[in-house]
Order: sequence, then C-alpha cells, then structure tokens
Amino acid sequence: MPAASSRRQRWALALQRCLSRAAALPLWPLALFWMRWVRGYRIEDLRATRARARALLRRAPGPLLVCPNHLTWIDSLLVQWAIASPWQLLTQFRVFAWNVPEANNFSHNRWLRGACYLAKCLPIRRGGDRAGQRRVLSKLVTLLRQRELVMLFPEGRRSRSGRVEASTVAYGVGKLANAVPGCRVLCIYLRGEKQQSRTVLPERRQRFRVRMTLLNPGQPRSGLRAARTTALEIGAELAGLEEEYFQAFPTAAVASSRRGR
Amino acid sequence: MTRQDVMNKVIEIVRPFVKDSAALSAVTAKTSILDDLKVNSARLVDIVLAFEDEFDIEVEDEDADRVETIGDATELVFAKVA
Repeated sequence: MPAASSRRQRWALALQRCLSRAAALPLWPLALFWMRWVRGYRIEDLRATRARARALLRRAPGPLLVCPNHLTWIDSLLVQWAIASPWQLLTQFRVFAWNVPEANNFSHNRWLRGACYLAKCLPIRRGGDRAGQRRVLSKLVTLLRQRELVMLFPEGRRSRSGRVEASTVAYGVGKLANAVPGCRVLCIYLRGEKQQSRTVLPERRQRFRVRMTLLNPGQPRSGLRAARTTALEIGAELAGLEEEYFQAFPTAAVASSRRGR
Repeated sequence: MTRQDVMNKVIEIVRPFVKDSAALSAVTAKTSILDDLKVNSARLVDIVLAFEDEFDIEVEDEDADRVETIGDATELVFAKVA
C-alpha cells in the first residue's frame, strides 16, 4: 500500500472534489427526482435513517469507509440518498462519499466517464494491472487521511446469490481500512422490499429498508493476514445486518429463498 | 528443496482455487494465475497466505502484489526458503 501521496495527486483530488461539488448542486436533485418520481422508489423511515447516519458519522469524525451490500447498479445512489439530506450538499459535502466503480462498465463512453468524474468516482479495473490498482488505492488512502468518506462494496460485485456473500469479500477493503490509522467502517445493509436477487435497476415503485452499524477494526494492523481478518469482519457485520433485516421482515426472506430454488 | 519441488507445491496450493482445472494440466512457469487459471483475484491473498503456512515464510504486501504467474510465485517462495 503506497504510504505517501504526491502533491500532484492531492491537487488532482482537490480539483475533482471542487468540480464535483459544483456539479452536484444541479445533478444530485435530478438524481433524487429520477429515483423518487420516475422510478417511484422510497426509503422507509427516511428521516430516522438519516438521523441514525448522522449520529454514527458524529461518532466517526475521522477516516471512514462506507461498506454497503451490493445487489443493483445504483446501490451507491440509494445509499447516498438514505444517509445524506440534499442540504448537506451545501453544509457537509464530505457526506457525499467517493466511489470506486468498475472502469469496464463505462470507460467506453466519454460522457459516462465525465459523469463518473463529477460524481466523485475513482474507477478501478478488477483483476487489471496492479500498477493501476495501486494508484487508485493510493488515492483512496489520501482521501481517507483527509477524512473524506470512501464507499466500497466489500463483495466487489453484485451478489450472485442475492444474499451477502461474506466469505468472498475482497481483501482490498481490509487492506484499505488497515492502511489508515483510526479508520472506521460504516456497514450499511440496503434492500428493496421486492429485491430478490441481483438486478441492473431495482424494480419500480418499491420501498428500501436500511440497516447500518459502525465497525471499529481496532488496533492498527498490517500485512495480508490482517487485511483478511478485517475484510472478513466487515463481511460478517454485513451478514449480521442482513440477518437482522430478514428477522424484521420474514416475508422478504421467504420470497428470496423461493427465488433461489 | 529444489525450484521444481517448490513449483510443484505451489501448483498444489493453487489447485483448489482454480476455476479452469483443464489449464492446470499444461501449467508452466509462465502460466498466469488470474488469466490462464481463472483464479478469482480476491482469492490471490488466500493463496499467498497458504504459501506462508505451507513454507513457513512471511510475504510482504509488495511482494504479494508482484505475483502474477506460477513462475513469480515459485521464485518468491524459493528466494525465501533457499
């Protein structure tokens, strides 16, 4: 894990943050409009969910990784909607997390590339060249040290089983959490009431329920084994949130298991 | 332990993680662990940790990042056990 960030890298990130903030003022309300009114999505108990997120963020004023489960292509938008109010664009832009999408999903289209840049995205190629991956990880470490929020999907891809695949979490998440002293992890479980397995977009007109918890990986650790331990802790935490979700909404579990047969 | 012994053990360690087991029959030092053997990139860490356990060595993150082929893995381990 690269330890030091260059001045050029810090400037590039500061520029991207600045442009993203300017772009978010018109674009984020449009995204909210699309989710709420075009697609008909709702976040259940939105006010309480945001209050819970605010309380957890207050407990983690330092480096913070946001680790949600992954079922659809717009999970990061939904999570952002659930945890941050539009006013925070003006007052607390930090709450709008940096994302690390798979570059192959949009690199063929320059408009999409531009949109991703303005949405605080740092694309990475899974299984791609190591130097490129190290450059992205180095930027993420820099951002975490600057107390920015970084959102990563620990499962690395949308769950094939429709459930959290805790045993297949990418160890890079643990490596990143361990690379920054004091880094905490906000684990978020978000699922639509009609969501049974992975999809590109969630089905129209449905409610999303959110569970979240703050994980403190504890003592600073280094090395591959420590990265694995931390990543598995995060995976286990998400699996625990999922269990809690299905205990609260057992009918969703029945539908999901029928689908899995 | 010879380089060939190390390579044989490396192949045995990698075997459970390989999706394309047919590719193992023609494995050489130049065989890419990710591209040719279709090992999930996230599992590469498990493989390196298995090297540590099997050969009683410690592998640094930077060294692990350089492992791309069976030959890379063999050289990494051989340099530490030789």
